[in-house]
Amino acid sequence: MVGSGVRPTVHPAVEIALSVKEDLLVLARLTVSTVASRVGFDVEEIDDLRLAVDELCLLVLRGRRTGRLLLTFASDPGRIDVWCSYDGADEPDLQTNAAAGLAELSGRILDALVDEHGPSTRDGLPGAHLCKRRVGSDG
Amino acid sequence: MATAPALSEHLDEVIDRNRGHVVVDLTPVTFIDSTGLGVLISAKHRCDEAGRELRVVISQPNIRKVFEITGLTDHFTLYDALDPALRA
Repeated sequence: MVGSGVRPTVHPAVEIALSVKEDLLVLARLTVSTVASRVGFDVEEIDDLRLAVDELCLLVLRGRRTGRLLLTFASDPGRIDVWCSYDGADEPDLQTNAAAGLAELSGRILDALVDEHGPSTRDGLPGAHLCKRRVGSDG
Repeated sequence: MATAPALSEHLDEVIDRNRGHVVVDLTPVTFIDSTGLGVLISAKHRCDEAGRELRVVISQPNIRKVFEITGLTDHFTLYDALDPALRA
């Protein structure tokens, strides 16, 4: 059901595909809230994850306006992994100072909110991944 | 991200049409990401260039947290409530 590179988990992974539209990122935030609450994350951690997933999507988009975002949410008790990939033809905006500034802000936010994050490639598509562990979990 | 373009447009209009300091009241805002922060940073640069101050009102802890983790609490003049921001 899930693409390559996804860690086997206790709970089935959840996958969603979103058209690149500004107001659809709320669906990514809602999904991570639901998945995280099922594996015991508290309200503050879920708030952190909502923002982190939003920033992960923004980092992958980097100003792209068309195409799709493919998101996979894999969870175990005390841990959640999210992969975000871009499927489309637009090139990212890597040149302008504004884009670089926003990417730096996203990086700072992710550094503060999750345990791991970085670029990833899934099924040949460029993207990024994050992992957050619940406070007090061993995983 | 969804409301950032509208915010940017509105701030541009406010900065262009008025001469005083600018107060952005984020009290009703429940979520902000780097795109929203980018709009505020850009507006602050415009205010700085014009010798004006951009004041930001934040009452929600989760919004303040975003400013703190990005190091922007030192960048902006922040207020906990609207009245002090208007009176300052």
